[in-house]
Amino acid sequence: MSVVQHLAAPGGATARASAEPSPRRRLSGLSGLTIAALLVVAMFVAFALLAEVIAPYPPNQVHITERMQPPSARFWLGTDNMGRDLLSRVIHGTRGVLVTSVVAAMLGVVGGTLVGLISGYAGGWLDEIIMRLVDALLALPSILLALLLLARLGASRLSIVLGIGIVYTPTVARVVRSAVLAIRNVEFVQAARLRGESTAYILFREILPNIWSPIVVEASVRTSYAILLTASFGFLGLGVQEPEPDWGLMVSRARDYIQVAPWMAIVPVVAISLLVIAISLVSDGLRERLVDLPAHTHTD
Amino acid sequence: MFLTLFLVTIAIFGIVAAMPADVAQYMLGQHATPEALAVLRERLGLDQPAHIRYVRWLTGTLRGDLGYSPYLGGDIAAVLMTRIRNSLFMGAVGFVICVPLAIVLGVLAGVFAGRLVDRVISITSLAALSLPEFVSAVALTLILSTWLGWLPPSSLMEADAAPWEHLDRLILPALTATLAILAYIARMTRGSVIDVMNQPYVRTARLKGLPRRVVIFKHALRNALLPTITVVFNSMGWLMGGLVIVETFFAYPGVARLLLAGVERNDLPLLQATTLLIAVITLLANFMADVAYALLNPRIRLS
Repeated sequence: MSVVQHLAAPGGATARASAEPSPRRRLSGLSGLTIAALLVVAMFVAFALLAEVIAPYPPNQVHITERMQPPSARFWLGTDNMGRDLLSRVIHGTRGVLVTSVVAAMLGVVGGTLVGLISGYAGGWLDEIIMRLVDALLALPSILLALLLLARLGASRLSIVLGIGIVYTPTVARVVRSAVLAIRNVEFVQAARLRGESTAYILFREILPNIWSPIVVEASVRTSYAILLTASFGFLGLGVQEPEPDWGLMVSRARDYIQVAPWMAIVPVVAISLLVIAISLVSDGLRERLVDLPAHTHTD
Repeated sequence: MFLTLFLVTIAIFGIVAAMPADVAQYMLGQHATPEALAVLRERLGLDQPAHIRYVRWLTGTLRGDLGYSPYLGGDIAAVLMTRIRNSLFMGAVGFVICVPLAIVLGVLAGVFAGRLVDRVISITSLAALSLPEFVSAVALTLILSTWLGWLPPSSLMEADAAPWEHLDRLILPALTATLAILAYIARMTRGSVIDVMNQPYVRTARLKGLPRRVVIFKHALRNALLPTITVVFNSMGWLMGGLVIVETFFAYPGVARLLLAGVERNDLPLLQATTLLIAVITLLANFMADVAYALLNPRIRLS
């Protein structure tokens, strides 16, 4: 979807256990920008949870005499071509975007973590085959792969979630694999192996807890990309239908009125931008806190 | 690269072949008799097992026969070539505008790192990078079309019309498609300019009293632009992904809209052909990036 994602070198993350600082210390180290971004994300989460309470009107209530009104005291962000309040529609649309993209990103992270753990720990021919497949999947632009899967699954919310989740699995797998490679031969893993622990125990009890940081960072990055993809599918009219207040769909409807009622396009576009940029800033903050911290060695 | 390409063909075929859509049913409509369906399936080779169909599709594609599309009602190859020409031409227009602009901006930001120019360029490019294409599409349309009135807001044209005769309609989609690439190249260039400016040989050049201009253009830029060239090729693949949104937004008759039609109508042969072509272009661009880098940088020759 984005250049960064397409070109980013896989697995810049170093995976070493960092001693857990107390939650308060962790928060105090955040920059002002990250805190502002967190507040924006919190606002959208509140929209998603309490849309009915916060929004001034129901999302599909039509004010037939007040179509395409610019922002005013009554309609803070203006109305669309059907006379629906844009602010209310954006607020109600938050739930769909957030739920779809967060679930999709989690799916990709869980899938990618499993694949990455196995591939990185097993090594040898299995690793070789898995990584070749991952390369092949990453060679396709992610929106293209997601579109193919969507055609296969039939366009619906569920298939968008599945499609995005599957698309992000190889990306996450690469990151996790390189994190695993960094610690698979460290003493505590060798010790567990010599103790005769099962592979599953080593993967999930020894390795996984020590590569949490890059996974958490990756999850936040994936979430912001998943929002982009979800909104893009809404824009293409896949998986959503009028009169659902979907942000992407709102942009595509507004396209025809862009010369006469530009706010119809601006409102959902600003909402998407705010959310995506806020989440990217949060993940930058997380990366600084979690990954680039001077790492302490693991004490078992 | 060929191994990857081979795996890509398997991935595409695997996903598409598993689709529930029945091409024969689509072609004959809801009321087709079972006999007619069976005959057509046999003629299209749909009764064969998957691996035979895969080999057939692959060999057909290699011979330039991309198959029959129910949606187009004809051969895919001719239509697809026109569409890909349109898309590539639009991309080329975008690159011609964006790459020089990105390099200028990146060098400016790099030379004046930490100053106001740099801050503005860096923050704007970061924003442009993290937003989806339809956001930049809205922004550019509002600025260049609605408010300034310089360009038409839509790129609607006949699919087989020559796009170079409608250059004014091409600029908006081309800019939108390459805006994020512009931002990315500018950031890369900025980074490598800063790196190079701190190298001992550049410091020596400045210490021996050469004017700043000469140091920047004759000494620093040669090395600073190396990684940029790779990025230009690499971002071509990314451009292909962005096309889906851009072509839809501006109603431009390119390859991505053909792909989308394939998705909406469950047209399997069309889907396979368009996806494969886009994948090939992406892979080829990435390959060229490696070659260009090796050619330009004698330290990393392909062994």
